[in-house]
Amino acid sequence: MRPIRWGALALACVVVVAAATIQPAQGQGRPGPRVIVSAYPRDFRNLDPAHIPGSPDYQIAMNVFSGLVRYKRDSVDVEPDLAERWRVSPNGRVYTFFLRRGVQFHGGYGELTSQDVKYSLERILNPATRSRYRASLSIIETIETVDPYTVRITLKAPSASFLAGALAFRPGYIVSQKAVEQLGDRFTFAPIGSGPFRFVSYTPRQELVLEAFPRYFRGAPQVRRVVWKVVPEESVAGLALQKGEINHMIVRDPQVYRQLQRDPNIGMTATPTTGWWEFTMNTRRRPLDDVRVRRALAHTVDRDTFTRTVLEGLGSPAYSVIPPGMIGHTDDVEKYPRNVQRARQLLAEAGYPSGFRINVVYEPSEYAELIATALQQWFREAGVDLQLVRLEAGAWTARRQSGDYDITISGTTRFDPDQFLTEQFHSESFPPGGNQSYYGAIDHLIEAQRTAINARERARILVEIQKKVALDVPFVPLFNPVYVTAYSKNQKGHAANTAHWMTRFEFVTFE
Amino acid sequence: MRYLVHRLLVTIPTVLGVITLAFVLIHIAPGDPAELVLGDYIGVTPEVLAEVRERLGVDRPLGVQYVTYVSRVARGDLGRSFRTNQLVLAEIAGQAPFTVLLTLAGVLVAVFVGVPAGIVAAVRRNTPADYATMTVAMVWLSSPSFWFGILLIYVFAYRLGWFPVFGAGTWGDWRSLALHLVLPAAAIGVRSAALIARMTRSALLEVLGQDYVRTARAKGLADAAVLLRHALRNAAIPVLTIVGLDIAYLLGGAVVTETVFSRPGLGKLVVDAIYARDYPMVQGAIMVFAVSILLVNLLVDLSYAVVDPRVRYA
Repeated sequence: MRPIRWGALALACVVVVAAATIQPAQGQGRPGPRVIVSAYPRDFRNLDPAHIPGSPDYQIAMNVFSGLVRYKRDSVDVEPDLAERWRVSPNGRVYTFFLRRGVQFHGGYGELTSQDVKYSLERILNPATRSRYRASLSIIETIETVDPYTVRITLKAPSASFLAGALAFRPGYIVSQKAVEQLGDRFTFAPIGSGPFRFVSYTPRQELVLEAFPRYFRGAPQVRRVVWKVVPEESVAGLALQKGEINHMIVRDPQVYRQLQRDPNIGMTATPTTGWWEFTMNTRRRPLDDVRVRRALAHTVDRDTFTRTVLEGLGSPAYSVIPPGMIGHTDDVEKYPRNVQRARQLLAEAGYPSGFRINVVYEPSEYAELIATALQQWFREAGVDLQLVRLEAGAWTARRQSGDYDITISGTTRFDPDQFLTEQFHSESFPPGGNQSYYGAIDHLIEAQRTAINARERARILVEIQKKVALDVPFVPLFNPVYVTAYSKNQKGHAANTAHWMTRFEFVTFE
Repeated sequence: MRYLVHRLLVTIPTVLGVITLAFVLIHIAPGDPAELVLGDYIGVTPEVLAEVRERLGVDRPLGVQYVTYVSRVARGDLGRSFRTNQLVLAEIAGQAPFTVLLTLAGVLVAVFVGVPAGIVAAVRRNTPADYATMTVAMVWLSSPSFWFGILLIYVFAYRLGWFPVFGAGTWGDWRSLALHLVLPAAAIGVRSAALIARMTRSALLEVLGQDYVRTARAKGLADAAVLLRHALRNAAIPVLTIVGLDIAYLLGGAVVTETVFSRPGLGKLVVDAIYARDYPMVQGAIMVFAVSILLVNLLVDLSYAVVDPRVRYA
């Protein structure tokens, strides 16, 4: 039996060596008094506001950083954050922000002043930073520090989305100049902000720990510590929540949702988000270049059954490109009610009485697989044969950038219409940009809403955009996802959170 | 000793071949690392994409990238991850202990369950015990590890509450490490146990019929002594081979098990890297796998000599 003893010996050696070389995780990963342990499905990659690649990192940043303005707790309207108040010049181009005094950065990096604001925004605009958010701030002409507590930002042109679309969003977070310069590359995983929580530690692929910042300018939050555990499998996270190993999680899987609903010790909030899932038709490809064909396919969609039975209520039917809760939203658009008869009729008019074959190319993340399968069934009823081409993320980027697909599926969450109108519907954004339908008929409207100073005028243009897009159907909205958080019953304050698949823990309290 | 040096020298061209193959394969795969680095791409302009390609160095001709890469590897520099901008070697080193731990625990489970089961089946050949053992082995072999993992979690962690539902525990806290290890080790171990059980059974059956076993019995040795000291020792070589292959396979990462149990580890690391077209990470990890598999094979070959004195290397 010698090999077995060898195995035991080797195991012991490895354990000893590993223990000697590995830093123990600093975070204590047990739910306790005022400690939240949350499961997050993906690992973190970059916490620097200039580079945030997606939702996991944004989730951290929104708890660690403050901006001049921020989204209200239950809407995508903005409210003062670091700026106590601000003034906009009559021509809409000059914003003067008056900062709170005495705001402290985490980690003893001192008081936040107008210089940090100027530095943070200019850092994103600086090509050497290679920030993916440069375009969203490119409307800025100059940033001046009038005094340590006053910043004046001059825009190249008036911008209706400057506050909600840029300053309250990821690129608007203010970093400590001193910290960025001192920490260099390490800032990626040692972010210094002035928000309610300070960063404590990150253990790759395991956990990330934040702690309440006692000197937070609104007062330290009730939650003392937040630990995010990386748990890729949502059903496992559900079991961990029921067993009490974690006490907070995001629910996206309809089956887990149903399972947790039956547990009396679990509380849940379900809130509509300003996000959407849709399918996009490539208007450069035959036969999708014919609007009658696109309308025919839209008529096959059965949103009600899909949201009720497949999603178990984790989404509400969507008809407009601008989701409810966002400025200008209207549901008074062409809805293409489910009508297979009408769909067949339109196809016959377009010269396809016996249907045709097209493909849907997509990355099977989150709801995409469910949608693709549903589309295949719906289209089949109208005689259209839909080929499913599932690609992993990398292969998908190559197909997307070269416009090689008939139909694609995607889901997004944003806060201001300008953020996605420009990227998904402006002809400047044809692939490799984000306008996957090659639809270029509303450029003038997108530009007009961007520079409308008056909110009512802007809303009028946005309504026009929604009606026009619905008529031309390059893009078929399917549902607005519902954001579900599940948590142990003693937590309160998981209030309406229309904007994110995320939680701002400063609002959470305990019984 | 000369044998050892020779074997170690042979690994160099092998590793170079593996590096080249990994380089070619990951570059053939379609995909733009820059877009994947930038994340949920809304708002990214073509200029920013181009700048990121330049920073990553993927805008240069493939040949240049290859030569640069190999010369850096020769100096021990595996580069930085595209995804996280951390050192590839550091990331691998951070994950490796979890993988090694899980692999060894899995193999322990496999051997401690598989060998006795195989012995029972061989000794009680063609009895209900034999059939039962082999049937269970068959079921285990063919059950998907994802399903089996979830089942273990549901029963032993959630229902019975004996073990934690997820995670890998904290280094330095042995109790926590061990508790977190049991279920994943069982999940990957039983599969190999099934294989080992079948292998032990057939190897033993072959040996039990041989003359020296009859001689051992004839000189009055107890059944157990015959079995453990004489027969099993000769049946050990095929079993060792399986164990060696198994270790090599598991070091490459038990992706599914790591995912189900939310454990860090090399399997998940490399799969994520492939999805993200994180070229330096994929190449670095594959190189490390290649080296460790070569070393394990060498160890297995050497252990043959320990188990069976007739095997000599010169």
